[in-house]
Amino acid sequence: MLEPFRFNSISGRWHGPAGQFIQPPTANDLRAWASSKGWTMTHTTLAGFETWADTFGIKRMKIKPASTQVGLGPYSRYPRVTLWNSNGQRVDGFGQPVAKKSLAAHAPIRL
Amino acid sequence: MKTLGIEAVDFTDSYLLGWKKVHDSVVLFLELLLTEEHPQFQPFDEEQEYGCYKLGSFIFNPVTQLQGLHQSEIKPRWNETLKEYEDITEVNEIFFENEYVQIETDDSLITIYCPEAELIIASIGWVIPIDVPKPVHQRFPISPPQTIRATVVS
Repeated sequence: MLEPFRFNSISGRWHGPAGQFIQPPTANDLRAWASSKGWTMTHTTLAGFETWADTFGIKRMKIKPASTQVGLGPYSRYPRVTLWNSNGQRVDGFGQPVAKKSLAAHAPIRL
Repeated sequence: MKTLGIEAVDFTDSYLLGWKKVHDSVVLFLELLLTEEHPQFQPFDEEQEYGCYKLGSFIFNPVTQLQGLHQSEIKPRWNETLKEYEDITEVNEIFFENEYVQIETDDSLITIYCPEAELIIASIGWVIPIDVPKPVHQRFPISPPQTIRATVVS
């Protein structure tokens, strides 16, 4: 099944099912997508961090709020998402493992 | 010597890599997200990276009570493929309260009772004995939280 949106660590952009560039998904898009995979929200914080895990309890997605701290990078001003595979590695939308400080591990999304 | 505020480090997007408990001390090994306020902030590739990350140690001494860290030591593990240290968990929030610091991660709530904490940024290497001074460190008096300040010795 083709995914409705995937962040590419090489292009630094979100891609649709046919590979075209698309607008970043919203947090609600991601929640619906995660739910469709059987993942459930396991943890939230007052600041807006939201962790989702699969049926085995493995962390698979985390939605992060925009940072309120100044002096960070330009993408800190956006909410973000981090994805993990079933082995616990951070991945981009195409399943490629990515470093934790990479932009792909902090893919910008919309509210 | 100058004063450096807590705004120089964004703990909430930082990573816990490991820890070590020695006698009445606790050292947390972290990969920290620095802001432009920090003297060790360096420009980064904004098209590929989220921010300026540096390795660091958060040292608590003396610790009178500890919750949430059950093993005595977890050493940071290097991932050769990704060229980075693997994190145990992400830090979501940190709270400086009267007499203790509370660190909320994805998996646990770590509470450390200690009158003062020291943050050391180490640009290279991971063997950071707690009694070795480093060029940049921040001291966080934990009480009261409104007056948290960090001191940088250059």
